[in-house]
Amino acid sequence: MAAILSDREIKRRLGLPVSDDESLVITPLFDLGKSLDADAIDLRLGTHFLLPRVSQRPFLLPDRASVGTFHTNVNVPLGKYLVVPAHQTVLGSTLEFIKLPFDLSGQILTKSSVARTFIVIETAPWIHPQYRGCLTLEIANVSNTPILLYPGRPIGQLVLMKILNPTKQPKMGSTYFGPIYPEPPTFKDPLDDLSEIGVSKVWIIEGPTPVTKPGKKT
Amino acid sequence: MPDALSGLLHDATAVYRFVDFICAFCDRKESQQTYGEASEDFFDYVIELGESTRRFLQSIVDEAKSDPKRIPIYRTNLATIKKCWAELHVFVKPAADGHSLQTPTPFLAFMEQQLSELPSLAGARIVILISPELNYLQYQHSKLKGFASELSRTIPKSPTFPAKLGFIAIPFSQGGTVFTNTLIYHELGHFVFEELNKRRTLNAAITSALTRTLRNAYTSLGYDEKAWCRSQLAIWAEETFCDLFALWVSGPAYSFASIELLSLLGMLGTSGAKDFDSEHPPFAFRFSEHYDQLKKHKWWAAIESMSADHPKLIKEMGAVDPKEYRYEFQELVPAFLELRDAIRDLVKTTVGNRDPGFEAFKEWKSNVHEHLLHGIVPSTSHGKGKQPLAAALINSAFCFYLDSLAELVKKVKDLDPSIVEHRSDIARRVEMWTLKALEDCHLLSRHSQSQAS
Repeated sequence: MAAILSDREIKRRLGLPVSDDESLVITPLFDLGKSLDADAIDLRLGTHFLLPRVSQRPFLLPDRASVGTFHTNVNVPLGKYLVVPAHQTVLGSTLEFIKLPFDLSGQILTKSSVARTFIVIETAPWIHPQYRGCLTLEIANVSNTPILLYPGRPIGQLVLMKILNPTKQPKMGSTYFGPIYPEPPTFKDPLDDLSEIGVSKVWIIEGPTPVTKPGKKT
Repeated sequence: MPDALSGLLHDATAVYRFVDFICAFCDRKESQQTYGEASEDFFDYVIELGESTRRFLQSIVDEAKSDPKRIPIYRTNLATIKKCWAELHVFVKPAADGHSLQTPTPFLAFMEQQLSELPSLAGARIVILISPELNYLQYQHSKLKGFASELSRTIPKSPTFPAKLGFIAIPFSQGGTVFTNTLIYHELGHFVFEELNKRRTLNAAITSALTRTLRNAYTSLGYDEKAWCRSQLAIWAEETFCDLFALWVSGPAYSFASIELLSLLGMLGTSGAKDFDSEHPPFAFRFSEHYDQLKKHKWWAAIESMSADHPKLIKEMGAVDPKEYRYEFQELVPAFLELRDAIRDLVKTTVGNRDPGFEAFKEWKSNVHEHLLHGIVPSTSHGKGKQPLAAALINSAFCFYLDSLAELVKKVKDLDPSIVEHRSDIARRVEMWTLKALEDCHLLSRHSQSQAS
């Protein structure tokens, strides 16, 4: 059965050299004693955000061409705040850079105190073995009130789990490899994804097209 | 004099609108973006100056109404205001573009900290300007300060220009990089040279070098020609000072960055490498100075065996016989070469007892290498060694980038080190991790200091 790592095991793995297959990296760590719970470690909110951009199209089509078009970069330095309006979302990241070893999976959870303000930080909380990077957080304010987020404050907890019979991947994964800021999503075109399961035709919606008076040149 | 008054009113209104726009622009940018402290101080200065300028414009119109004889004086005041604000105008937009998303903020914070640690430079700060040119440039801040004091003589209660504030322009394309931005250290050298008036220290050595090498040919020159000779030597001496200053403060990363940029500009290996121009000594001379200082500070033995071409290039350029250096007025070359020791001494006195950083590099290089090779931000060892990790990061990471990038690319699934796009993506990540490590070190140091106090 998979087991959740204790604070002692987390500490042991944090102390291993980075070349060790079992090594766990979480950096920067300000005060390990304060950050560690019996079975989890606190993570802080980073200073960069991707705010949703108002699209010129009346819909969002996640395809290859859309990469990087959904968001606007924002930097909020330590000491300043970001206002998340009610029912709005933003991509953020952890301040900590994380590297999981080959035999651990992780899950990031909203800190309970934060969750009780109706801020949700993760909708894809699972972290695969050998992942490295600052974790992108899909932050949603599901309350009816605007909320201030302060970079540097604890926002989530990382729970680590030992995998049964893990397979050591000889290479590091290339998707979302080592980001230090929130990364926008990457997509293939819908047809590329669907052709893998035998679909050969995909319906799409064209973007807005200008309408001109008859006889007028555009 | 109704015509003169309406003319003054029209002119004052035009200046008011001009100033008003610039202030609103600064205000808007400050609320929309994040800037370093230096830029914020500059914008605050501009906004405050704008307020006093606008008040002053109304006051001269009011006074002109009651005393039209003074209109010519007010016109002179307006001319001064226009000239100074036109100068400020040049700086505002590039400074507004230099927000934290366009600049390597943690690296700049580290540089400012290094600058502040130098003798007589506590509190010195740099406003980063974003330039369309593919080059780095320090704007002469004393010129801007001159305009500011001219304004404060004209406009009552105008704010004082922030002290020890430098202006350095970086190419817009290099904003997010770390390695090429090591060239900012050269521009910091210009700032230091100007701020501490190092030219004055060199004047005697310049005159003596000219007299010794040119003898009668110099003494028989007219006043203007002598001044031109001294000025030309001072320009080359300042450039050399800035190179050596940058090398001292940042290590061989500065030499590597110079080669990277010169290569990007297509200026490496050209026949011009031995030619002086009116602004710079030849690359061959500059790299010979790099080579000498790198040897003196023990760096050379550590970088000599790198597989990248950079150390070889430094050595080759440094080996060019000074007799091959060329200039339109060849007689000036030996006089300039006489100045070498004086420039080196000047750098030494400027940096004080600052450690050139080799010991830190020696302690941390393999650790940083190991982290980067495993795709990890190299900040986990902060505070665990004898030497500060931050000081070694740039050089260690630059060496990794030059020598071991392919090794890292090979370790990443689906990537091939012979594919340029893949190399480029991983190189970008190595720079990002270096930047993050610098930021982490800064945060961790601040945390330790707060715990200690």
